[in-house]
Amino acid sequence: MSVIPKETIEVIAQTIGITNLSSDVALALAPDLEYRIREIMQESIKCMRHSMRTFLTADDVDTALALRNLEPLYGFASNDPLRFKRAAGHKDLFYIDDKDVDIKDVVEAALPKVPLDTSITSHWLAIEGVQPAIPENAPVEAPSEIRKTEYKEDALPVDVKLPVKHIITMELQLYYEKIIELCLNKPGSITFRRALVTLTTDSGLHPLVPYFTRFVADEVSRSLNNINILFSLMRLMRSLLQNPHIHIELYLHQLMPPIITCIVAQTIGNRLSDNHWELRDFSANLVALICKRFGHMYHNLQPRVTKTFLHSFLDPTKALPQHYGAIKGIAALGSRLVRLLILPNIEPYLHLLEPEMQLEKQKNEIKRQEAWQVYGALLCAVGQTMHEKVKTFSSLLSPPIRATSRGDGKGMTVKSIKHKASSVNLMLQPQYARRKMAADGGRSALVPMNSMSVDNMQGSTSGFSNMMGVSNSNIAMSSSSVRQLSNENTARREVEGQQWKEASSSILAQAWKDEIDAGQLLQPLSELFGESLFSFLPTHATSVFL
Amino acid sequence: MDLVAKGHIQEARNFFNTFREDHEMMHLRDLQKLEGVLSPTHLKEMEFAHSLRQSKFNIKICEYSYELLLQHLHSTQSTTILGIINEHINFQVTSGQPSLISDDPEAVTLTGSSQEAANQTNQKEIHWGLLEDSLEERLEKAGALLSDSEKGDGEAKEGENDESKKRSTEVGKQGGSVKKIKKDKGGSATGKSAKPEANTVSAAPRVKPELPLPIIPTEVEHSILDDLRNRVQLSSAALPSVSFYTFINTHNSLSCSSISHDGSLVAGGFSDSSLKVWDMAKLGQQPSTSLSQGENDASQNEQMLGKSGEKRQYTLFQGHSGPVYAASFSPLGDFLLSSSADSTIRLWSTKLDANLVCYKGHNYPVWDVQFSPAGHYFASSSHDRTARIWSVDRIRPLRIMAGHLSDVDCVQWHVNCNYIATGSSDKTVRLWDVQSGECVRVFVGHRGMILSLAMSPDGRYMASGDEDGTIMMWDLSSGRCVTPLVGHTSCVWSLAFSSEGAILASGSADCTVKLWDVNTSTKVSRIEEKNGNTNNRLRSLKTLTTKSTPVNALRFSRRNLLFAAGALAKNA
Repeated sequence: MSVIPKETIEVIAQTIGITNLSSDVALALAPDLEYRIREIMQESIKCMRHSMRTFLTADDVDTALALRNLEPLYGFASNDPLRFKRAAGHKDLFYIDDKDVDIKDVVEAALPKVPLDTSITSHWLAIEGVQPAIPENAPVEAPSEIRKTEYKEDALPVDVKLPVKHIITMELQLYYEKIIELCLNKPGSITFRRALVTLTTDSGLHPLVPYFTRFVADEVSRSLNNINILFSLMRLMRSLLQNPHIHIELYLHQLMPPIITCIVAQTIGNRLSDNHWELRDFSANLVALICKRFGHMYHNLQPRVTKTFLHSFLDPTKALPQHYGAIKGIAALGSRLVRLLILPNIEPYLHLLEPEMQLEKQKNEIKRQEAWQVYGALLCAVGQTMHEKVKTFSSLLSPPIRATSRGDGKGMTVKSIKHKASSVNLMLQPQYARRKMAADGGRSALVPMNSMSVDNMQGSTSGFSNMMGVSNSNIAMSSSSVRQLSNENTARREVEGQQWKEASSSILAQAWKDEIDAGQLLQPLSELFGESLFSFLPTHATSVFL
Repeated sequence: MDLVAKGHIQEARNFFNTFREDHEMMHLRDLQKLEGVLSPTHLKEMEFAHSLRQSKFNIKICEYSYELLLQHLHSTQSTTILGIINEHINFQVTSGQPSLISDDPEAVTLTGSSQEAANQTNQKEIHWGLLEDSLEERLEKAGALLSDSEKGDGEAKEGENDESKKRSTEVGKQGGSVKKIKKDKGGSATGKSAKPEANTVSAAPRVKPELPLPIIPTEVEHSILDDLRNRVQLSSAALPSVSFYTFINTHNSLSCSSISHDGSLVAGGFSDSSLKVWDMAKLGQQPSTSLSQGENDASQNEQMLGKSGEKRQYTLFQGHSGPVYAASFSPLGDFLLSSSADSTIRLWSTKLDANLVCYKGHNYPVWDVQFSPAGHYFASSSHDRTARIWSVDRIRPLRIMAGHLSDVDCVQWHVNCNYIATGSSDKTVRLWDVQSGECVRVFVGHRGMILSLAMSPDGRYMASGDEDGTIMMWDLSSGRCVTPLVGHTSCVWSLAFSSEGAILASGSADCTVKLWDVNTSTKVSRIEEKNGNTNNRLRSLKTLTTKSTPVNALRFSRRNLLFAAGALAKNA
């Protein structure tokens, strides 16, 4: 009958002292009560509208009651909307959480702050129809699908100007979401690799580029400690950069910071377990790619990048991984920059680096390892420079010499080394030995080591410097057993050197390879330049040519 | 309802619940009202139910469907339904092709004594033209003699009026197909197009004021003329600048706001019965000047300063004893009217910062009050279902307009001061002749209570906004809806036409100001009227969103700068 049950009427009657209310009366009163309540609420809605509000307050009900000459409600003076709570177990039963307040607490409580007085502020909502971007105005919202359809429904052929330049189709949105998900959750999967391929080849991705760059920028800053995600992000970037259909240069300003972060960040991932060196290498190559592709269009791009690298390279307070990244970055940008930026500084830098690498001065194994990494990077950079230099002179080089050197690299005998060593330079001997060592890998180190020790014996007359032993890392270490007569320092380090050699050998293998390449190309170089090269780069020469 | 009247309440409730869904979309609020009706006594009390039971419904139906219906009724011998139809439904059988009901706004209408009267009233003539001898007109003739050409002007105008009268009658004869003969002096669109070579500037006919109007001081007149000369021409291509005044720390108590014509004064009415006026010119340089001024003011008026001596940024007007529901500045900005739930209207002087007059006459809360465009007169609307016309110098109303079936929620003056428009909770807008006090137009079409009204500066169109967010543009002469404007999602609190009438601005509770192109909409509608196509929409030009401020008030200054005001809602 009525939404108000007669029990409610009975309860109300009891609260005002009428106990003998018959159920017939209650039944008759219930519909009337409902009608009155509805009437009052409709009046209060009117009052609400006229107070220019869209939510009903107790005040409105009070005013509506006053209109009907009824007693107003007491105890609801707040102008803020009431906070209703849903009663547990009932779907549409709500109540106001009305806490008991002790009068004592109210009296003793400190006076609350006087509420701020009403005031007025003015701003420009629009100037000649355009909303200025000031904090008072709501930000211009991104286009939503709903709004678009709303316009489409409009029958009038009006030229609706949408606030954005492009609209992303449903398919592209799905694609974007899928890529993001793969990137974050399954970086190593085959699907992701395939996705990367599509990113490099698909021609219709241009609308998504701003979103991707934004995503990468956000994600890099968020997940600096997760090397896997960083790696996949960088892969994503490389794929986009390689896509010939995308004009990614418009977003370079957004792209560069995250990539450079991946190169010279202080800590990436777990310092111990993760191979962040690889990520730094990868990102450095990425930067080089960008500079190569867009450097001619944006003249200040490469200078700015190199400036960043140089800053972190020359700052001794920066951590060693940062130095490593900087060196790698500069090296990736080309030999000219290495010559310009690294070579002038290499001597003082090596002086700084040296104590870090030595066992007795740097007890922290991780730091020492890092120092070695940096050293390797330096060698690699310088070596490549040499390589480039040789190339420029390659027209002068006679192919046979290079051929022989290459042949030496493969099937090398001690005799040939001897021959070479005597004919070219004594210093080259250990280099050959190390090449062989690298070929065999660090695992089966003992055998080549023996052979190398022989070499070293032969070459030891030249007087290995302290420096040389250091630069050769574990090879030098192992060979130091033979060399102990001539070199006291290395001998002392022998035992420990053997121990940590195993751990770092695999990491270092990469660096050696590069170094070997460099050395290999230095051989003809040194043939060409002879002693003059060493006088040019004394430290370099001693280190690389070990 | 018949079931209820005879006491079968249970069956009535069942019937109601079964059929409620079919009508929920269109008539939700009516249903909510009816839902409570449970006993015969309620029926007698409720005027809405009363009007429903007394009146008949008009249903436009084509011949074919009418026959089908009759056949069906006869074959099933459902006598009760026949009885209901005979009692409450009035078929208007039209011959021709069946058309979509949605195309015809009057397909189903409520008729009755009042409705028939409305149809009658809509036939009455309306002088919707501008006032002759208006300042704009003078500006147009600025090159000519400005001071002593008034007489000649008046004569010329009268002649023109006569001309147009003839013309319109001719049009009426020619246009036999047009059922409603347009009797207005101003002439229809065709009348206008008939003389393209005529002076386009004063194409709108002028009418004489039927009220004695106050004389405007010459220096003010000069400043207004200056403003008009410097007015920015607005169009769909040149959108206005909008300056937004945000009330902060209102604690949800702001119940109305108003902006003076030059935008320098902003008034806010609050639910704590206070009325506060901010002088925006002073606000900018407030720290230095208010100190020196404050002391002078303190001697003049104690109301202005708090006891602590702390300087307030605003002038506080206290006097009402209920929430202040409306405020209106006089055209010159020297007076302010406020209406309140205590059923009084008060006149305040912004120069003296004091209450001058208290107008008592309404018996219930006064929802709205508006100064006439010329000043001196003002109109008010109230919960007692009347609108009243007052003049500033008398404490009794001059006219009482009664006729609405529910609260009169808003009131607006026509630009020539001869008419007022009122919007009501009965979902109609009415136009009243100020001189006679008669209702001359009824505009039916809204589906919610009317919250705001605006008149176009040329006096031809009127816009009304309701609580559902629909804005309707009406042609005053025909009484028809030109276009419904759909876009807002919540109550339209305020509407304003730009000074030359090219743009309509609407402010809504959905925190947006929307700008609509009036010119294209009216043009389109004219074309489509000829084509017989009524499916037209006004073009929305721009939506300006505020951060979280419902827009309570809008005002175009004479230089066409748009001012908007609203209170910042914290948890919107």
